[in-house]
Parts: sequence; structure tokens; C-alpha cells
Amino acid sequence: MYYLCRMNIEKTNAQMRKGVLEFCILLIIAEREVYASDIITKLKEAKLLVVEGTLYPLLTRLKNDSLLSYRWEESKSGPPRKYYEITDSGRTFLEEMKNSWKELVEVVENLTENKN
Amino acid sequence: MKKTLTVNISGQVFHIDEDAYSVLSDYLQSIKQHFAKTKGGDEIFTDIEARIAEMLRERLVDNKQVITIEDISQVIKTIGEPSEFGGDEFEEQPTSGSQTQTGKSTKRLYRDPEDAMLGGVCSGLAAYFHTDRVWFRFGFAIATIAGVGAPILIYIILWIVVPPATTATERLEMRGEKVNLSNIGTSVREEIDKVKEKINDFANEAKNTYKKKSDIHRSNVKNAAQVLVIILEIFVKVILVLTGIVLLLVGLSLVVAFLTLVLGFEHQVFFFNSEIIFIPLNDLLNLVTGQADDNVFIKLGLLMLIGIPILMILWGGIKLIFGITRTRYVGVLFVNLWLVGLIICMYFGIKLGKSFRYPGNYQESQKLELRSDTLIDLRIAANEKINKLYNTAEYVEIEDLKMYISNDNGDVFYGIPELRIEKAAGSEISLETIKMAKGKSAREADDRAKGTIYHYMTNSNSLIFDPFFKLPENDLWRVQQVNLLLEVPVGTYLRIDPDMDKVIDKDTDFGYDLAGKTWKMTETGLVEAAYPPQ
Repeated sequence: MYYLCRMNIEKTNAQMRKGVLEFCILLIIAEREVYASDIITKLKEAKLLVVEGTLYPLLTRLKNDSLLSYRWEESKSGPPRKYYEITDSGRTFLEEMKNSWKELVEVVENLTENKN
Repeated sequence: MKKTLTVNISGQVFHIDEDAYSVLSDYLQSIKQHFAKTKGGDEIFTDIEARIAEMLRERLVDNKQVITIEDISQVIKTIGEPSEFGGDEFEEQPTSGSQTQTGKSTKRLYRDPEDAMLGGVCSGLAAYFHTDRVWFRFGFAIATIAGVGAPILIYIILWIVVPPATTATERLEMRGEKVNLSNIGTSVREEIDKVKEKINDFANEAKNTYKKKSDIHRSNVKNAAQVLVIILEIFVKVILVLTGIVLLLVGLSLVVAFLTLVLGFEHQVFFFNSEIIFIPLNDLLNLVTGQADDNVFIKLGLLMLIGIPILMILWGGIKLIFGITRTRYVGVLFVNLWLVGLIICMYFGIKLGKSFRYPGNYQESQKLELRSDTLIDLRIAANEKINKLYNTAEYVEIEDLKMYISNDNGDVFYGIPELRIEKAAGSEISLETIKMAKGKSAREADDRAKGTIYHYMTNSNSLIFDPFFKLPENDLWRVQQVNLLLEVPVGTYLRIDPDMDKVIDKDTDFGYDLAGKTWKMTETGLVEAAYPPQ
């Protein structure tokens, strides 16, 4: 039973993190123009990212949805790097996201307080 | 020492260990397949590849030049397996499914030197076809015992052709498993366990090792099929050990025969025309090749050409009996040495062959001081040494050529002349000596023929032949022959001594009957007659 419980908690946690991951990526990129490794570092600090492989399909998808764009920049220590920046439609999308996140947090907090 | 490859990852050059390369290449392949159906999948792949290159570049610090398997495993751990990437838009693949889908599992035929009776061919085949090696061993053993020789040949060919699986990657490829990190880890652990096991077994000797093995089997027995497999395994093992003993005995007897023949011990046994005769092969070889450097090389070549297969038989026997498996390079070494021997023998064989190319001859005819009106005695010279030689039966007969080699007096070659008796045109008695030999050139052959030493003498109406002709000292054997033609006028009576039998040319009329009788020359040839005539 305990084992089953643990499994479910882990699974739910992972799903919750996955859900907010896109939101967080946009937040990081909205702050300033960043390089993929910078995003990875920040997400890892926040323990939102388990494996780096998760990031790349998300970045590509956000780019395909025109929420962000990138440009190539020469690097001193290697080949050119992709620097990501948020687009105008990305900013609009992010503002909407922030609002829905606030609403979501409020709802969750209310529910938690009511229970207690 | 490891083999290193140079690869281009996202436009950057890396030196990477072979095993690390195969893991990385499979990993990249699995990522590519994972995103194959995703929009912008190529871009994702390129991004990840660039990230990998970046991470690897970071790991190359402090004079570290080569990407190792540890680096790759760290990279894979950080980036994660494709199944861990997640994402709603990507259909999650079940973990077990991704194993089969991601990365093409390369499968190659290898020999398994870790689990070998001889060369690990059967183990390799079994791994390739995912069956128990017992079936292949059993099959080979039965086919061999059933009198079919081909399996041995097939086995030897496979042994030579199929490479041994030595590295972890190769061992995985042998089993057709996907080469990834965990598999390599498992394989390496298996190898370490095997080494540990071997160290433990070493003290217990082969017998105990086998007992232990069967104990393990016994504890794992679950069904009848497994019992059958164990019985078969024991059966095959017993057969293999018996085969090993036979091989060992055959090998040992061959070694004895070989040593006596080549190294030139006295009283060599050689089977010739189903008779056992004695040939000092060493002396024969000296006569053919001379004492030059060639002699040494030819002997070395022969030693390798004949000796190595014998050694292989011996080695095979020892391996079967004691279950030795770690002999990766022995087979290759044997084959290479044998080939060297073959090349040496071919080279000197051709060289020798050339020195036999041209025939030459030398003839001389002499009028004999014999009276044709009284009985002429034909005898063999009585010579103690020669008689001794005659009786020791130390001779070689090649086609019509008879020769004796004596050890007593160095390498002295004696050949037997052939005598024919014909009707003379005139009234004189004459003996023609025709000497023949071969050489590199016709001139050399003629000179050699002339040098051949042969003596005969007349004494009070007796014609006394030496039983042998002789080669001059230091001359080589080049098919020297001496033919004698005795011409006597019609009406001459000849008494032929029984000992003459050996020198008489058997191809003439009465060839086998001439010796020991008295004959008269007539217009139509020899006729048996009494003397004095009635």
C-alpha cells in the first residue's frame, strides 16, 4: 500500500511540474535573452527539470507556436549558440498565463484552507 | 590500450573510445527515432546533439583528450533516455517497447572465447541464434562421430574466419543485444564474475570445476527439458574428453614418428609400399639439398609444415581433456606459422625442382678381354662392406630407381646399376656404360652423369660387377642412374651368378629368371643351355 501511495505521489508531482514547465520556461526567457544552458541551470535549481532532454522538445514547440524566437550568436568556446527571446505574442500569452496561474493558486489555497 | 575513433558531433571534433562511441551512437539513434514523428523533430535532435557536444567539451579538461564511456554515461544520465523526456504531445512509449524500438540492435557472428571448448565457434553460433550452445556442440560432436569429416573442416574454417568477441561491445553484438550502458554494465559484471569464478576454480582443478558446475545445474533443475540439457551436456563433455585423449595419443605417436624421420635417429621406420623399410630421411634430405643454407631452411619449413598440424592435434587434445578455453591467439599463431612453413617449402621446392629440370647422360663403351669360346662367368664383386649393406635392407625404391644410403661413411649414396645382355653385331664382347643424371642445365646434367662412379673388372674369363654405383663426394642426388649393356656374340655361353639378380634389368626377356642359370646367346637372344654343351 505504502509503495503504491508513493508511486502515485511521485507521478502526480511529475505531472504537476510538467504542467508548469512551459510557463516557467517562458518566464525565464521573458526576463532576458537566454541560452539553452542558462534555462537548464535555472530549471534545475528549481528542481523542475529531471532530465535535460525534456527541455528541447518544449523549446521547439514554443518556437513553432511563435511564442519565442531565437538567434544564433558566436561563442568564444565553441560553435555558435542559440539564444532564445520572447516574441510579442509570447508576452501576451505569458500575461494570460500569469493570470490563470494566480487564479489557480488562489483556488488551490482556498481549497487547502477550507479543508484544514 | 583502447581503440579511439574521431567523430564530428555538432560540428566539433572529438576523440572517443570505441565502446563509448557505440553507446553514444545508439543513444543518438534512439533520440532520433523518438522524435521521428514529431513536428520539428530534426531541430530538437540538432539541439540535443549540440548540447551533448557542449557537455563533452566541458568534460575535456586538464589534458584529457579522449571521451570515455564514463563521460557518455554521465551525458546520458543528464539528458535522460527518450522515454524520460515526457511531454503530452509525445506518445509515451512503454519502457520495454522503447528497448526494442530505439536503436537498431546490431547482431554479428562472433566466437565466444569466454565459453569455448576449442575456439568458441559453437558458443558464438548459439549466441547468434539464441539457443543453448549444447545443441551446437552436440550437433558437431554427433556429425563428427558419424564419420562425416566436413564438420571438423567447417569448424576450423569458422574458427579462422569468425572473429572472437573480446570487447564488451562485441560480446553484446554477439548476443544481438542492444548496445547500451546498462547492457554493457551487465556484460562487464558477467565477465568479472567469470574471472572470479575461474580464480576460485583454479585451486579445485578441472575435475572439481565440473562437479561444481553440475551442482549448480542440479540446484536449478526445474523441468525435464533442463535435465535433458544437462544430460546432453555431460554426454558431450565425456565425448569431447575421450576425443581429446584420442587426439593426444595420435599426436604423440605422430610426434615420435616425426622426430625420428626429420631429426634422423637411427633405424627410422617408414611405411612404403605397405612394407616397413628403413630410410634415414635426414641423409636423403642432405643428399637432395646439399649442406648449403637451403638445407636448414628446408628442414625448418618441413618442420613447420608437418610439425604444426601435429602440435595442433596435441594442443586440441590437451584443451579438450582439461577444458582449457582461453586460447585466443594460439590458433591464429599456429595457422600463421604453418603458412610460413608452407611458403618456405614452396619456395625451396620450386628452387629444387629447377635443379632437376634438364636430363643429361654420358656413355662409354669398352671392349672386354674375355674369350667368347669358353664359359663366361658374370658375378657380383664380393665386398664385405657392400655385402653388409646389401643385407641390411636399407634402401629406397622410387619407381624403377633403387638406391641405398649408408650411414657408416657419411652420406654416401649408392645406386644399383641395371644390366641388360644383348647380341653383339660382331665377334667382340663389349660393355657399354650409360650414365644418366639431371641438373639445372643440360651441361650440368651431362657433367654430373659423367662424374658418377661405377667399376667393373674382368678376371680369368669372369666379368665381375660392382653391385653399386656411387656419387662422387659432395655431389647431390639428381636421379643418377647407370645402365649397363653387355653385348656378346652369338654362341657365347654365360653363367650368371645368383647374386646378379639385383642388377639385372627385369624388363628384358627372362629378366626374373636369368640369375643362377647358364645361358647361350643365339640369333634370337638368350636361351637357357647347359655347359659344356653335350
